[in-house]
Formats: sequence, structure tokens, C-alpha cells
Amino acid sequence: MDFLISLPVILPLFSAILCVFLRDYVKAQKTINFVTASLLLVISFTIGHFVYHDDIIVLNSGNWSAPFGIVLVADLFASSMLMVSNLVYFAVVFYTLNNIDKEREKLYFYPLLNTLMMGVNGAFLTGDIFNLYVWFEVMLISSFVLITIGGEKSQLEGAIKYVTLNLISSFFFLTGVGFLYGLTGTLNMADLSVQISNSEPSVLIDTVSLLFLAAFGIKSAVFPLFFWLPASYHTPPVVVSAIFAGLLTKVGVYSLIRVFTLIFTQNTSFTSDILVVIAGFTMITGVLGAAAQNDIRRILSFHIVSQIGYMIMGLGLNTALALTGSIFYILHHIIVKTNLFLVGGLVDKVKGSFALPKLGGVYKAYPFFGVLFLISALSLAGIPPLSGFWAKFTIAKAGVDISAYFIVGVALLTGILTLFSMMKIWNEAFWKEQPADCVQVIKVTKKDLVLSVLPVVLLASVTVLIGVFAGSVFEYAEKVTAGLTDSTNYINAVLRRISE
Amino acid sequence: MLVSVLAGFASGALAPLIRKYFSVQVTGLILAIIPASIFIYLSSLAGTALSGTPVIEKVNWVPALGINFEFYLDGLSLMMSMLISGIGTLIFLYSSSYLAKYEDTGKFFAYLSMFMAAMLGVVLSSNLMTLFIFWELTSLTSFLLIGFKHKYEKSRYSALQALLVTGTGGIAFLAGILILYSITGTYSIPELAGFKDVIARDELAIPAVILILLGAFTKSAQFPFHFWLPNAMEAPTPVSAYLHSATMVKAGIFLMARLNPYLSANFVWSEVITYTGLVTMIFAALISLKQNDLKKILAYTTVSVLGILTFLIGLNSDYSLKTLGVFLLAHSLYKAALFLTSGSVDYATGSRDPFKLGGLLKKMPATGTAALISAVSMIGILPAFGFIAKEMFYTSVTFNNLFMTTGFLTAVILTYAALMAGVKPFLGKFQSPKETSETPVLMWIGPGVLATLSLLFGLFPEIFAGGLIRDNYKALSGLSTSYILKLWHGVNFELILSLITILCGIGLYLLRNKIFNMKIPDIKFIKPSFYYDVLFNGVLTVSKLQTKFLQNGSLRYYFVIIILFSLGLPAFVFFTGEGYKNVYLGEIPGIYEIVLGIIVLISVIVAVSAKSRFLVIAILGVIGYMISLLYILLGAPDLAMTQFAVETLTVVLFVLVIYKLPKFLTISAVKHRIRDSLIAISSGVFITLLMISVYSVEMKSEMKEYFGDNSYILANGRNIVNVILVDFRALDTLGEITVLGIAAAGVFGLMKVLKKDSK
Repeated sequence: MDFLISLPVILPLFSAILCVFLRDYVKAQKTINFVTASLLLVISFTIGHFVYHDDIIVLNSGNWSAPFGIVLVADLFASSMLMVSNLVYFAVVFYTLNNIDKEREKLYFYPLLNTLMMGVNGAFLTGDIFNLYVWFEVMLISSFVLITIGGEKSQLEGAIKYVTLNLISSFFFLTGVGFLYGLTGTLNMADLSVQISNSEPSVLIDTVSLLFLAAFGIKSAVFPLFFWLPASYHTPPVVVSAIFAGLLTKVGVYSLIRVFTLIFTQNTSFTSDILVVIAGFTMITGVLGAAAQNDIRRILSFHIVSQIGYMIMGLGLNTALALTGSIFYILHHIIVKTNLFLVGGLVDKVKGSFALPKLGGVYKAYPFFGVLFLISALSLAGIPPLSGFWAKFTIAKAGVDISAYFIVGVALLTGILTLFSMMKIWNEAFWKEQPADCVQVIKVTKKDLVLSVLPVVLLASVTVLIGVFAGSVFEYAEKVTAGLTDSTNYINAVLRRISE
Repeated sequence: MLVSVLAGFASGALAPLIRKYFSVQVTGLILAIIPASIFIYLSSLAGTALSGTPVIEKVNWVPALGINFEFYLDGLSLMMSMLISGIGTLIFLYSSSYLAKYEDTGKFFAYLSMFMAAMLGVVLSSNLMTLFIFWELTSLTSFLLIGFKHKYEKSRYSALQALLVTGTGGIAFLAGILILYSITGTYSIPELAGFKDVIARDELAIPAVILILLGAFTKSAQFPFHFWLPNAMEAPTPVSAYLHSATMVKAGIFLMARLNPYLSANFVWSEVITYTGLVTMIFAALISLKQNDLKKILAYTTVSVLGILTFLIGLNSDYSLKTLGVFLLAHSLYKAALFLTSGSVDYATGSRDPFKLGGLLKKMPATGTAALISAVSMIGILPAFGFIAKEMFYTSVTFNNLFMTTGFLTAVILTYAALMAGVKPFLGKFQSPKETSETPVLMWIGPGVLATLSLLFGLFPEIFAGGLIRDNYKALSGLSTSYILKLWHGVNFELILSLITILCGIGLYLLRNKIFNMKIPDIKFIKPSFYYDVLFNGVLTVSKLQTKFLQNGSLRYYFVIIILFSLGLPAFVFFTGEGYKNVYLGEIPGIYEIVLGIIVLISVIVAVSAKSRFLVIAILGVIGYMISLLYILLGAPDLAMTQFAVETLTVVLFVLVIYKLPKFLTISAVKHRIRDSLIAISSGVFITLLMISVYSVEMKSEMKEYFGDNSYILANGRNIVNVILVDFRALDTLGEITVLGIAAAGVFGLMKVLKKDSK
């Protein structure tokens, strides 16, 4: 059974290698990629099922037990992220079937998608802090190449900013890992938790924890470290933006939550305050950044930043309810954000642009696109009873519970500004008539349309279902949180094998 | 009751489908079945609901958060829900004819059904959170309805305005609910009865009350948030009739009425409500004087009446609470009818300007009669229901001169407006931009029914509305009453005041041309809508400025911010916590190390100040070699060999690439270079200090020992570093190899870009 949790890492690697060798056989690559995505979906839900009903799954890689070897650990938090991420990946791969150009396909597009997922899944599953660094590197290089390939020179500008600023994150991360090893003599996260909680509170540990905050903060695109995101996310093809938007920053948030609930739990009041301040600025600057944009992808990119603020706020408020809110938020956001980019892709497909001034009339021509957009956009803005409402509500309530009124006010105001920019897209792209000089004749075949819309429908349905079954999802998120606020189970599961 | 609400949403979802197979008329008729059945269903519950024990229904949703579907049917919710479903039915019938020439009618009916369902949800909920959820849905569906004619800029502007104003009110409402919950621990409205003490005394109750009221005021278009309502007249007329008579705007009134028995325990509640209502009624009435569009006149008088209703709740007196139900009912009936007849006039004549219309009664007898009766009710003339409402209103305000004067003035202007909107187009000399004839039957049946009800309610108030009003009073005050509704109260002060009101109203009407042509300076900064625009554009300007400042495109600037923030925080903690306290500097390094260190330092300085790329690369090579030498000194020859190889290769590759690069330029200003070097030096110093401090902590690691003991025995390898790389931590290596592979693919891809560009 344990081997199951190695598959989300190994399977995409195999798929990537196969696709590399089949470079000229695009159809074969497509098939392999699609099969892999489907298998990943099934596997991740199987893992999720077992973890939920039985217990944490731990796999010692190379059969070296913790803390000496690298362990893969699927607890509720990891498995929940795994499920949602691979669901979204499946939808994106589905969308790719008809929406990626031949040129990119021949430039290792499919292998890169696979290695990206390998990195993402690895980051969720690893129980080793240095190994986490490795998966970050895999993600970084895959995403960097995905941004650049097949593009024009102009596209490189965004890519350069993306990669340099993310390399600073890697630098802080690696430095932090080195120092942490110097202080504790271990890299295993469960062991780190034990070592640190058994030792006296130390300024050095606090200092190092802030290096991690910076490293993951850059990855998560929080204020004031988010510059790389709006600089680069609008440049690649929309499928690439969609998968980035859904997953990359969330791996950063995942890591933040992981290290600050498992490892650095000694001096929480200080980091919590910092996190709440960061969260407030992230929400506001992100949403204002979006208000200033006139291109669908740029608006959506800035909104990623803003939404990250909510997740960080939940972590910063540092209560069980707040953390539950964060987790609900991440799960909801991954789906909704990816889907909004995909809808943006649909708009571009039928109208030939992402620029609001050039767009219009989508609702008249394709009313169903309008419905799909509204579901995701309103969910993002936190309109009930869609998924985003529950996420926002939980975090806001957690804030009111501990009298953090100011940050709750900021969060609610950000909500209304989010609504504003979503409706701006709606008014301009969907409701307005397209300016006569921008109308292009675009032929879209029925098959193409259906294949492109189906994955969007899939994700939109999940958004609606999360809202309808908010009760169950909330209880699930509560369970995930329980596993984070009390990490005894996690630690025992990982380290038990020593005593055996 | 949940089923009723869900049926509304379901029929909304099906509407476009039905429209696909049927004509507009048939679609409208089919969809009207839903509100009609809900109306019948609710009537069947009326007996139980009015018997003093409300009908209750509960379905769990998110029990962990205390948010469940809790429905509650008493006099108040019964009255509201019957108005919603009853008038809703008529609106569907009317629309099926009115919209014959419109496009997208399937969508229209979808929005309308969903709006109706959301509205029902609002008035039936007894859980504040579910109420809030439906509340937001009414904002959203009304957004779609107001913007129905979305190819017009004005429609989109108005729809967005309505959404933003009511949406902002919505978040205030939500915040209010959350704070209220934090002091009472419940979302259930009836349970608030047990917390009146807390609501009266807790210091958090005041912000909670004000925030909840903000929600109610924005929704019910109270001053200064009223401006969205007249703009919302961009919607097709049936929508205006529905939203602005019985539904949307009454949601705020309903909320205040519903919470009144509990929140009035706090002194702020009634005070704020009274004066907001007072200002709104007179302010909106005054604006209605200057309108020359039937719908605009009706819109402003709606705002004015909403002010009256708000005000009546605020008075919170025995009599005012009885009046509220009567006034609300009367207004819903006549206002829906008048909106519909003005739509019919527009439909038949192509104009909504009362100055250009007259004598239509002959051509449109049914519509005209309905309009005239409704106008009579609006003015408050015997025997229409509006008469009772106005008498009771006057009785409620006579105790205070300010209230009475304001109420009187408002009533005068409402009389004038009723004459303009309901009488002028139909009586007098025939005036119309084009030939006219009566509208199709479906379009006059609605106003006809409503006008008849205005009369019947007036003639037999006790039979039709007595029980409803008494139970309403109970819901509003928490007390029972045996009050009997009567049409005729005898000749008293109120009756005389009422007569004077009508005379003054007629006087105003006769002066209509003078009033309309009166020059009133257009002072824009007294208009709240001006502030909406200012705020709207302000946010846009601020966001542009902010984005220009933050996301300015300069990589160097991004670097500076990120480094300062990322190292500033840990440095702050490190220095304030005196993390350098226990530093142990170790033994004095040997002569070789010192020499190596000096060479590295000099090289760094040269590299930074170098003006040629070639030099920089060469010097970086030197630094690399020095570090490799250090490895040898520390006894790690294999590591040193690897490093040598890497450095050599790097330098060679760089030299090859440099050949292709453009000329090296220094474009940064001196002061920036100084700033950057300061940041760089302090970052380096801090990291170094931190490293020394970390190094000073004695590390007790089991790792070294374990790897040393086991690498040969268990992993069959003599070189521990190698065993770690390929066995103990093989997964890391796998990942890193993947990174290299991907990088190779990336280089391949980039070269294609270059080729493409050079073509």
C-alpha cells in the first residue's frame, strides 16, 4: 500500500521520459499525457480515500527509515492538496488536447507539464525539508522553461524576471535549510519538529524561520515579494498560465502552513503578527493592482496575489477555525483560479483577444461561457453560496472571534473590490458589444468547442458542489486542521519506524 | 418552504430551455405557474401562520458553522412572501406580452425566476446567515435584470452601480451579523429574544447595529445610498415594477422590521432609523418634482415611501408599527400597478413623458382605469386602501411637529406625483406622440387585478388584511393586539390634514409647468451619486498609481525590495534578540586560509567594479578555484575536484557566450550604485554573522554517525558522500537530475526562439 504514494512523483517522471523519446509523435505524447493525468487523478483520490479512512501513509524511500533517509508522507493536508491539484491538472490536460500549438508540442511541452506535476506532487508529499527544496527546483525549472518555449523574444522578459526573483527564493530557502541543519542536525521535518520543541526557544531558530518565511513568501507571491507573478503570468499560453495560477503559489502557501504548524511553533505570536500584516497588504495591493488592468489574464494574475492574502491571513490569525478557513480557501482557490484562466482561454478562442477594450459580445454569442465565467468569478468574489463564500466567511468569522476587526474589514473590502474587477470583465467582455473594428472572423469547430468547454464545466461543477455540500467540505477541512494543530500523529507516523 | 425557494431557482435554470421550444407568451405563462403555485401554497399555510404559532421548517446545511436553512412563516413573512409570489405571477403574465419584441427572453425569465426565489428566501429565513445568502443572491440577480439591455453603456453602468452599492451594504451586513454572533452566539433570529440585555449593553452591539443597518439602508435605497434606485430604471419596466414595488427594495424594510423587536433594545437602532427615514422621505420627494419621466417619478416616490416605511419602524410606537404593515401593503399594490401602467403607456405611445401625454383613457380604458384607481390609492382618497394607510401615518406622526411637517410635505408631493404618473396621461386633452390603442390583455390584467385589490382592501380592510396586520404588528413589536382595521375613522384632525394635503397636491399639479421649468442650480457635490463616481474613479486612480509604483517593471527595484524585506525581518529578530551573543569564533585560521580569504575578497571587489564581462567571468573563475583549494585544505579532495571541473567548464562556456552578447553598458546612476552596494554589503555581513552564530551552536546529530556506520555495511559503499547521494538520499538526486534534463530541454527550446527571430 505504501508504495502508492510514490506514484504521484514517479508516474509523471516516467511519462515525461517516454514523451521525450516520442518527441516527433505528438499524438502518442498526447495520449500518454492524458492517460498519466487520468491515472494521477485516480491515484490521488485513492490516496485521499485511504488517508481519510485509515491513517497517515508513510513511505521510506530506498527503505532508509526516518530521519536518515527521505520519507514521503501523505497526511490529510498533503492528500487534500494532492487531490485538488491533480483534479485541476486533469482538467488542464483535457483542455490542452485541443489548445496547444504544434510548435510547443514538439518542444517538450508534455514532458515539461509532467515534470511540473512531479515537482508539485513531490512538494506536497515529502517529509524532508531538503527534499522539499529539490521539488521546488524541479517546479521552478519546469515552469521557467514552460514560460519560455515556443515564444517570442518579448516573452523572455517576463521569464527572466520570473526566474531571477524565484532564484532569490531558492537562495533563502537553501540558506535556511543549511542553518536549520546546523542548529538541529536533521532534515526530516517530523524530527525537526521534535528537536525544536524539545530545545529551549532560540533567537537563531526564530531568525531562520523568517528566512523560510521569505523564501516561501516569494513563492506564494505575498506583498512585497510578488513582483515576479504579475510580470510573467500573462505571457505564456493560457493552459500554462492556468496550471501556474492554480498550483505554483499554492505550493508556497502549503509549505508556509506546513513549516509554521509543524516546525516553527515556538514563537508563534511574533510570526503571526507579521503574517497578518503581510496578509492585509497582500489582499489590498493585489486587488488594486487588478483594478488597474485591462487584460483578462493580467486582472486574473493580480487577483492571485490578492487571494493569497486570505490564505496567509488564516495562517496568521493562528486559530483552528482560521486555519480551517485557509485550507478551505486553498482547496477552493486552486479550482476556481485555474478555471477562470481556462474561461479566459475560451474567450480568446472565440474572440481572438484577452484585451477588454477589444472584446465584447461573448455572452450574446456563447451564453454558456457566461454561466461558466459567472460561477467561477462570483465564487472568487465570495458570493454565496459558491465555494469562495464559505472560505471567506470562515476566515472572516475566525477574525471576528479573536476581535481582529481591522483585518476582517480589509478582507471584506477586498471582497467587494474583487467583485468589481470580476464584473468589469463581465461588463466588457461578455455584455458589451464588441467594437466593430475588433471583430475577427474566427472559425471554431464544434468538436473543438466541446472538448475545450468540458474541462471548464468539470471544474465549475466542482465549485458549485463545494458550495452546495459546504457542510461536508467544511468538516473535512476541520479534520485537516486538526492534523496540523496537533502534529503528534504526523510525528509518530513518520518516526515510529525507528523504534521498530 | 425550502421546496418553494428551490422550485424558483430550478424554474429559472429551465427557463432558457423552455423558451427554446415555446414562444415568449407561452414561456411566460408556463413559468407563471411557479409563483402562482407558491402563492396558493402560502395561502394554504396562512391559517396556521396567523394563528399565533409560526410555521417552522429546518434543513441542515453547514451545521458546524451554525448555518442552516431555517424558515419561519408568521404574519410578516407571510405578507412579504405573498406579495412576492402574487405580484410575481402578474409580472410574469405582463412580461410575456410586454417582451414580445425583446431578444434573450429566455434569460430574462431565468433571472426573474431566480430573483423571485432569492427574494422568497430572504423573507422566509429565520437564520441570519441564510437570510444573508439569499440577500446577496437578490443583489446578484437584480444586477442581471437591471443590466438586461446590456448593449447600452448606461444599463451596464446602472447595473454595476446597483451591485456595488448593495454589495458593499451586503458586506457591512455580514460584518454586522458576525459581530452580533460574537456577542449572542446565535444566527437564529427568534433566539435573539433571549439576548435583549446583551444587545442593549454590550459595547459591540452598537457597531453591529450600525453595520446591519448599512445593509438595510443600501438595499432599501435610503439617503444617502438612494441614487442607485432611479438609475436602476434602465431595466425593462416589468422588472422595475417588480424590484421597486414589492421586492428588492422592500428587503431592507423587511430586515429592519424582522429585527426590530430584538435590536430596538439598543438605543442606536431606532434613532438612526427614524432620522434616516425622515431625511429620505422628503429628500426623494423633492427630487421627484423635477422629473419628466413616468418611471423616474415613480422611482423617486418609491424612495420617498421607503423613507416613510423606515421612519415608521424607527418610531417604534404602538401605532406606527401597525401603520407599517398597512402602508407597505398599500404601496406594493398601487406602486406595482402604476409601474406596469406606465410600461403599458410607453408600449402603446412610445413615450414616458407625462408632459407629452394626456387623455389616453379613451384609447386604453382598462389600463387607464387601473392607473386611475391606483393613483387614487397613492394619493390616499376614500375608499382606496391608500387612504387608510395615510390616515394611520398621520396619526403616527401628530405627536411631533417636525415629523408632522415633514410627513405632510412629503404627502403633498406624493399626491402631485400620483397625479402626474397616474392621472395626467389618462385624463384631459388627448396627447400622444403616435396613434395608440389598448394593450394586449395580459398587460392590463396585472394592473387591473392590483387596482381591484387596492379598492377591495380599502372597502373591506378587516376581511382582507386585518389578521395579517395584527400578526405583522406582533412580529414587529413582540406584542399581541386586537386592533381592528377600519376605513372610516370619522371626521378628525387626520382627515382634515388629509384633505389639505390633497388640495395642496392639486395646487402643485396645476403649477407643474412652472415647477418643472424652475431653474435650480445644479450643485453636484450635494448629490450622493457624485460621491459614488468620485469614489469609483478614486479607487481606479489609486490602483493605477499604486501599480505604477509597485509593479514598475524594473528588475533592479524588485531585487532591492525583496532583499530588504526578506533579510530585514530576520536581521531585526537576530539583532534585537542578540542572536550573536554566544558566538564562538573558533581557532585562528592558518596562513593558507588567510591568504585564500584575501584573494577572494580582492577578487570580489575587482569583479564588482569591472567594466568588461570577460574580466568578471575570469575573476569569478578565480573565486571558484580559491574555494576549491579551501576544500582541499579541509580534507575533501573529491569535492574539490568536482568544483574545479565545474568552474573550468563554466568559465569556458561563459567565454563562448560572451562573444555573442552586446556591449557592456553601465546605465545606473552613481547614487543607485552606492545604495545597492550598501544593501549588498549589509546583507552579506548579516548572513555571515548568522552563519557564524549558527556554527557556534554545538550540533548533536545522529546523521554523521549513522551514515558513517552504515554506508559500507548496509549500502555497500565506501565513499560516504557518494552513498548519501545515490542511496540514502537518492530521491534528491533523482530530482536534481530531472532539473538538469529539463534545463537541457529549455536550452533546446530557447535556441529555437533565437532561430525564429533571426529568420
